[in-house]
Amino acid sequence: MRRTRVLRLIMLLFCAIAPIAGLLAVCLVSPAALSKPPKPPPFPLSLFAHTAEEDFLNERNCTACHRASVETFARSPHAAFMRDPHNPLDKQGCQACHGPGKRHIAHRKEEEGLYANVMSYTHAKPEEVAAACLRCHSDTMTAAHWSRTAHAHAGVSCTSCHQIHWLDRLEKDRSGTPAPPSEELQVRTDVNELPKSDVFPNAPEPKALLKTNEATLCGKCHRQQLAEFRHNFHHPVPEGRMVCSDCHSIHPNKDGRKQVRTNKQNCITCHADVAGPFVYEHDPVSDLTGDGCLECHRAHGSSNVAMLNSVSRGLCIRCHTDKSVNHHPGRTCWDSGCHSAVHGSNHDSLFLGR
Amino acid sequence: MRIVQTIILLVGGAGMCAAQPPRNAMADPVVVEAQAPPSAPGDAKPSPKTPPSAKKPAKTKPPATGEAADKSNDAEEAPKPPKSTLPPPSTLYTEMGYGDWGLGGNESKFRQYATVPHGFFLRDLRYVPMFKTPSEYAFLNVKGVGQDDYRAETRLAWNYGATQAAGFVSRFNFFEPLPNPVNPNARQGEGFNVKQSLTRDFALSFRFRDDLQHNNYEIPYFNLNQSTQYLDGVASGKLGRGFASLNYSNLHYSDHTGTLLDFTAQTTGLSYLWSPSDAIDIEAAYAHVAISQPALQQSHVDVVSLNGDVALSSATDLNIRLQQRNLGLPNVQNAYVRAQGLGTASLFHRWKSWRAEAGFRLQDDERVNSDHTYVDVPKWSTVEGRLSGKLIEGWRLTLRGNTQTLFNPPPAATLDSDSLYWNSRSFFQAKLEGGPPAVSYYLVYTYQDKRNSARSTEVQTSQYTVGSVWQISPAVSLFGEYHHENWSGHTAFDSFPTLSDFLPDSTTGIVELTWNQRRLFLSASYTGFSESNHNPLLLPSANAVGNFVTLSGHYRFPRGYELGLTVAPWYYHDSVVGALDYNAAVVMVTGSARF
Repeated sequence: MRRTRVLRLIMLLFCAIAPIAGLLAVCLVSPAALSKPPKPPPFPLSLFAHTAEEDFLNERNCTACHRASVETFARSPHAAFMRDPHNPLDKQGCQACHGPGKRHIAHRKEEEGLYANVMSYTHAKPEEVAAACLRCHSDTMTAAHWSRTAHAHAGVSCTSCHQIHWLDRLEKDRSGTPAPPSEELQVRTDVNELPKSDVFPNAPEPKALLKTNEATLCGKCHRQQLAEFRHNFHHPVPEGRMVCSDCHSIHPNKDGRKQVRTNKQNCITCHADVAGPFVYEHDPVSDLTGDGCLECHRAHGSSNVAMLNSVSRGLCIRCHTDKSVNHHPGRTCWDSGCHSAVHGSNHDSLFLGR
Repeated sequence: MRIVQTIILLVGGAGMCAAQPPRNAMADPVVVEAQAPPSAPGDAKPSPKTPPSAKKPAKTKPPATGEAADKSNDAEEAPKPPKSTLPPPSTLYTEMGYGDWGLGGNESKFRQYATVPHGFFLRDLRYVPMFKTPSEYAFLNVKGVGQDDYRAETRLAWNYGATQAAGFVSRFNFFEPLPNPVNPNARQGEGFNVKQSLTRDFALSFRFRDDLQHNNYEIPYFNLNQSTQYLDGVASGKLGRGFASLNYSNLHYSDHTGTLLDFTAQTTGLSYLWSPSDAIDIEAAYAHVAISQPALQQSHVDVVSLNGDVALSSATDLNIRLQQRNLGLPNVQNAYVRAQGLGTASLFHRWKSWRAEAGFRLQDDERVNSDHTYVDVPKWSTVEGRLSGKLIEGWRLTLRGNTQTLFNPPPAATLDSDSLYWNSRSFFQAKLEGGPPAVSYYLVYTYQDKRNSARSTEVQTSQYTVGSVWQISPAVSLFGEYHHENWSGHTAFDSFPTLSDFLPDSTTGIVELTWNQRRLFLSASYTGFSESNHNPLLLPSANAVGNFVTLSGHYRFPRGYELGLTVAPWYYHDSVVGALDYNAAVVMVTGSARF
């Protein structure tokens, strides 16, 4: 059996490496590929290619036109990272993200060329935003990582969730300027912030320069999942005790940290009592041959106790159909005191007792 | 406790280090200018074609003030920036208040997930020190001091963000929603993490978390007193033409009541993503998990995976993933899976504003008896697809779905040997969103179907979500959403109680109106749910209605002070077990100030 396993592994490795190596060979070694000149980097990386020191201006130039942006950036936690004098010039200050100032100033009055010569995060495409941010955040993930994500395929980029310049409702108001138009409203209402946050104030602070709390941010697109949190039984996200990233890996290379679970996926981080392995596993729900916890539970919320898919014994008879009518029909399988070790038992194969 | 002391020491230390610059130091353009790239004429200039990033790190320069800055080598002389109109940033923010529940009825249900502050409480205390140099950042945040639920957290970054540390302490009470009250459950956690960048692209990080849970259950369950310690260390970042990651983690669980077995899971993993060209990425990963349980043999799980991405053209990508998982679970007597193979292939194509994805996934499980005799190999094959793009101007459509088929289903080890597994699963979702600039609509429809042909069982779920956000004016917006779930199912046995008697239908909804003027913020929201179950066993919490109204208003004074009032009449009614009902009229008055 061990030999079979080793053979399977070798076969798998071969199946994986052969097509990739073939494609690699075609792309890298073919004469056509060799004869082609290297492609120029795409925008916005092209802004930083072949630049010289004189292309990067004193930041006073930026302040002259973009005073508020410079000042709000100076208050952002991000600023501490960008002021490092050991950074190369193209990774310092405003121009680290927006590109060299000289080129922008030279084209600033052109209607056509304005946004081709400066990195504007409100006008850029998602892949351009990701490319710009990942110039520095390559210890978080690479462009290759990002391009593989479902977010990339849905056109969601870094600035969809992260706010680089400081945004503070009260600070702005104290400046005596008129109420800010869209951004404040977006943060507060447009993304349907969970209203219970006014009543349960102990939510964790948004991490990593997020625009607002995670449920609000994620719920902007994942509407149905947010709606599920309004059920009678739910994970305590509306109460601020949990955030989406407690379970979901937003950045793909962070998956490594969530791979500690041998089975039952993310759930055992908090529900370690059902982690096992048990001497008698409830096989389909142990994540060995089924969907793990999701065979019986719903991840976000449910109208049933314990976020189950069905009420009481209705859950069990979906699989154990032969127990539907003649097996103690007036009782709940686990609360009755019989199969109370339904997550797995070290003592009884029928999960009787704990 | 030691962790709390460490956090306090860290923050205290940071605060001591923080100088007291003029209040407007952060907003002063001169400070901003000090971070500007060195531009004195005397600087050695690189070759015109040499990107500055390829140079040696720029040396620290004194703030570019006066003539030195004005003599920028830029073609245009740097203009003098106008004076700041933003107020100086605040370092200390505090919010406190008084709350009353006005509760009648079942307190356990009202406090099921978290406890609303009551009496006098410190809702929020935030300290963000200002540092003399812009290379540090820190904050300390404390919420709910003196309450049943509280949380404190701090974050520090220094050395221009190359070193980061964060810590938290929290406690939450939660309750089993039962007609007869039991003692509260409590969850207390504390943890910290540290990250140190070795280079700009490579970092080491360490994380620790200690979690205590006291669970009080109703008979027939035993109470638990559990603790979980989790730590991990990760070294990851750019290495050569790729991205490398090496991680180790240790999860230790113990139940001090002795009801459940303790265990320790140690994981070691490494991965490397190699990008030989812009068009190709290959990632290999390996993880080994060792699980120890007292008086039992050690278990282990090994996972090897290979992941390849190829850009076939500028608009088309191909992703191939292969994974092999080997399980050594010598103590498990009844689950036979010893090896799992997984292969996926996905093709992505972009065309104008549309993106299409088609994928195929194959999983097989090799099942081996405890006496090492072969059992069988069930296989699951899944076809999946996704299409999204702009339908017409302002409207976006997303369609996605998958269908999974199980071949060679394992027979059941129970009296009835028909397979217990779903042999067919289907999922489909359609999402339409868009609208004119002032109004945004969305409609999401999800359908799921699961079948077990051997037992003539089928379960179907349909979910509808319709919502809209209407920006009535710059100050006023209205949000509404309706969500309905419909479940149906049947098995070969159709005498009472049938499967469909236990499948719930439910509805949730929300309406929220906000009015946001310069000084005044008003919000009124209604959230409700209702459940419709046959509930043949007349169980609690199966036929309930919840209506939650939350009214809040905040007035901001010019100096930055703010007064708030929240009134939340909440109503919960269980139509089968009235002992779970509650009525609450939460009133909360808050005041905040910043300095």
